[in-house]
Amino acid sequence: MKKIMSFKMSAAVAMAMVLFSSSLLFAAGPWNYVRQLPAADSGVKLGLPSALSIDAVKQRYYVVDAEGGQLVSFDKDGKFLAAFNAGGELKTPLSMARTSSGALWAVNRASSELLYINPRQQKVQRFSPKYPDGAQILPAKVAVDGKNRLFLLDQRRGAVLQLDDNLSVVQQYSGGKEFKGFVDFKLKGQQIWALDGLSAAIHQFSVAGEVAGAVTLEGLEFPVSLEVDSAGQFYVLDRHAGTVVVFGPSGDLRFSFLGKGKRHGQLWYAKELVFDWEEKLCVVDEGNGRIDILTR
Amino acid sequence: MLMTKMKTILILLAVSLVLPTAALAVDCFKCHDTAEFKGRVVHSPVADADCLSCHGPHVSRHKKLLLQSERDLCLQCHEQVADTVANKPALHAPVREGRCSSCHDPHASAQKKLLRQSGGALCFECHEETKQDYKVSHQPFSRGNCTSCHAAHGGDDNRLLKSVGSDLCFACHNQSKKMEAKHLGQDMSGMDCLACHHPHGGDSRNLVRSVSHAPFAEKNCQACHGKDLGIDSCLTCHDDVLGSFNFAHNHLGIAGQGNPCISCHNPHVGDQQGMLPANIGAACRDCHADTFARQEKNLHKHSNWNRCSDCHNLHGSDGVAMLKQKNDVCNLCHDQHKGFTHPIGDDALDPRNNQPMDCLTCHNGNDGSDYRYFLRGSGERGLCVQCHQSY
Repeated sequence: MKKIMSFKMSAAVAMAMVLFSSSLLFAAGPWNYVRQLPAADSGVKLGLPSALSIDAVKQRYYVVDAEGGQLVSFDKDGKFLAAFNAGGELKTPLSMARTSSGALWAVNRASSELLYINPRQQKVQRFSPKYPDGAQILPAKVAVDGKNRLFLLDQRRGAVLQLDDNLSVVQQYSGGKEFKGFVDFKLKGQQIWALDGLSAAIHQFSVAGEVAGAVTLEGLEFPVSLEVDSAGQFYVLDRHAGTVVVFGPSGDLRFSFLGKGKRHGQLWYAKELVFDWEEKLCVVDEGNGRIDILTR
Repeated sequence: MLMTKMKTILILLAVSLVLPTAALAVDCFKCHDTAEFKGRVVHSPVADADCLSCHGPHVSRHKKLLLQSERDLCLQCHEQVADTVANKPALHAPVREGRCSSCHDPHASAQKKLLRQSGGALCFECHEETKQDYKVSHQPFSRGNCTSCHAAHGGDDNRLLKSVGSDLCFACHNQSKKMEAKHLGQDMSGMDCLACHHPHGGDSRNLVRSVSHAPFAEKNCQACHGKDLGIDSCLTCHDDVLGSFNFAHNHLGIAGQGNPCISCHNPHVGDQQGMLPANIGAACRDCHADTFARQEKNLHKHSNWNRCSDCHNLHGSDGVAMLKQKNDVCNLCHDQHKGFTHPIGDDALDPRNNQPMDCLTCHNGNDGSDYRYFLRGSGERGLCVQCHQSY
């Protein structure tokens, strides 16, 4: 496990350079539709796309299909590459993260487990991580940072957790008195941004566990996912309204785009927002069975 | 002498003011039976025979030849109601829709406030499900004094309660030593009495809701209290329930470090199994206020739309909106529609997103809509051209 989690400096530097250059190239302008995953004429079908993972180095998209029990990869142009079901071990997968060595962490909702998948060795290990008090963690999302550190969103307590190589909790990130539970989080360098959906609040933490602040957002119906751009703006996905709402760093409403529906540029019970390596905005749209990719 | 002249002038002035109105009223009553305008309570313009204060005699854009829409016309004089409409977040549906005459007779009535019927009978015309026979009834309920607790036009609470928490109850009930003792000496000012007591009626004198959690019934408070275990307070006994959340969408993670179970389940008593309220929507509304707000605005909605658990799996589901049987949920009740419906299923793909069509493609059973059968557009054209663009 230590080896898997080993720090890959070159990958981190490459990722940082990609992110930095993207912030210069894609500074402003209206958001425009680029493509969808899978392409309408590709013959590839997603049952219930529930999450998206990005490989910024290889410039690939990995879609988690909860209904199909598979992970589906696409290249930077949206061309279908492969579908992988881990030998039938994936049962309602909800989230995945790829380590720098190519191994995968996946949340298996049907068994409420965390899977560690080594695609090269065709080996799947199942884990049920626990809190220090023995309570089982109920994973909903998984992420890996540039140092291959593992982060989970736990539904039992609504907290984001950092786990060590032995899958022990080394850090917990949660809100204060009004905290209802995080529904999404994003890792950005040494910062963690987490969205409390029911309280419509974004919390910021350092990876070390310090609370850096929180902003409350107004005018949202049912926020489920967030992203943070290189200018520090928050992009919040409103699942019921079918919109992406953009807020300034202090929570001031800037603008919103997209809308509820089934055509391009419309969302139907969308689940997640993810920026790719060029800060193109990817919207995981469960109801429409696709990932919409937008740029500006 | 001067006084006599003044009197004559005043009488003449009064006659000159009254005569035209009286003459107009006479004209109206030539055709309109005066009996329909008589009652114990008469609307003041009718009493003054001032029909033209509300109606135009010749033509109007509004039904009944009203000078303005019903809502605007009434609110013009009834400023207190206008203030409620402008400032209260929760409005009674007829008020929101400007249908004042659903409850009030604009001319005359045997009831005070020009109500069409006496309190309870009037309310039960729409709130039929509320009309129940209880072994023991709350006095305002049995007497039909709904407005003892509910504000008829609007309020701060979606139940249109006049006040919330214990303030509502303490308006009539005194906080006695005996009552405090029954509540283990707790400060009752912050309590939500309605969480445990049914405001309309019940089986017992204290109107405690009918289904009790076993530890509560056994007065075994320590089974749950005294430990800060979050969800484990419940899982200690109900560990088999945890698997019912293992779906793509579930209702965990909604209470932070606290116990998500009590977001929906009352840990002490309820109206039905699972210690849920009889009106299941009441448990859903707190978190899904946006859905309820949309539903309330729409003209047509699914019957029993407040019974969320008819269509949704409340612990978890692999469907996008936690629907039962995913998008096949409608067949639970409308199975016969399969025989004559628009093609649905894997062989009928929606051209907008290439997904299989289902009932919910055209019907909005969740929010309702302004179209018949809560269609997502006009059934004559607007809905169909979404896909059939050459239609």
